[in-house]
Amino acid sequence: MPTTKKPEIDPRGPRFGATITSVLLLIVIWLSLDSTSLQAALVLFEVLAFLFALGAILGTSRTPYAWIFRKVIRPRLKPPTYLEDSKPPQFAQGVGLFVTLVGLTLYFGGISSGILFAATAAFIAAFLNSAFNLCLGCQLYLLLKRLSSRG
Amino acid sequence: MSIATRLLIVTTLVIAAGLIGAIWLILRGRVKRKRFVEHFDLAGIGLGSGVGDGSGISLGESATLVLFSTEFCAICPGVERAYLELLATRPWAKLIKVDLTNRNDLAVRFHILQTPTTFVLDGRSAVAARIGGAPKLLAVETLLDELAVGASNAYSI
Repeated sequence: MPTTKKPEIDPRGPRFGATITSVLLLIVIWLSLDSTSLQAALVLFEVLAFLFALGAILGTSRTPYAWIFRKVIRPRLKPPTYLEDSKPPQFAQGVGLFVTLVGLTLYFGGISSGILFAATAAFIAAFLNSAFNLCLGCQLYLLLKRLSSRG
Repeated sequence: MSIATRLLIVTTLVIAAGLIGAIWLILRGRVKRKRFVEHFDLAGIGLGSGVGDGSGISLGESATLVLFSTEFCAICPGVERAYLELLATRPWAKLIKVDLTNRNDLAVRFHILQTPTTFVLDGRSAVAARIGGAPKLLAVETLLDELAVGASNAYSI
């Protein structure tokens, strides 16, 4: 049964977003390592959670990263050699949202290092996507389906 | 925590992430030859599409690539294109795509954990090799050409 998907987006857009996200998460990690800057870490972390939510719910094209990519980056690049479906990056945003929500839940539940751990996990995923083109949907989707089918 | 310590931690984290990525690049896409005869029952799953062959499911004469993907696999279209390039000069080999997005039963049955996963079948529909992730194309070409002359050592001890 052939699947009919319309490739829609420049694949370099989500990778640009992942690069920015990686840097922001690194800043969160930096800030959360010292108790005096923990509040700042929290604020930035909440911003990231909001950005993940935007991407997961509305699609990656409707995020600030995509806007910056379209306005600033892409005009300086050659046209893409191929387009990709928007579902895989959107799935990755959903995973990011989940991880950040877990971190925030831990934090507000009294475990202040929850932000550090969640940001570290999210950083590794974003970094691997940005630097090595690792696709989260490729690695996680089937595993998640398997877990949810057993439950 | 001092700046120096924080710098050390963050630097170590970035380096560790880089190492994870490098190791992943080395390990993924290896063509894992199967040692035991394992048949791939196309009729049993009743699902697949023969690319470039209007009659639907059809196996290659000497080899078949079965590409498992989902709608959440960003790299699967690129892998499919790469396989089609390999097959362009190998008319005795075909490509079959299986979409597992709504077929978790197949994913479980064939122990598929990631996409893309590729099965390489020989001319008798036996699984000669499995490939997890974006394939190392040179190794795929080697195996395909071995299968063409029936020289695959998949069943050797």
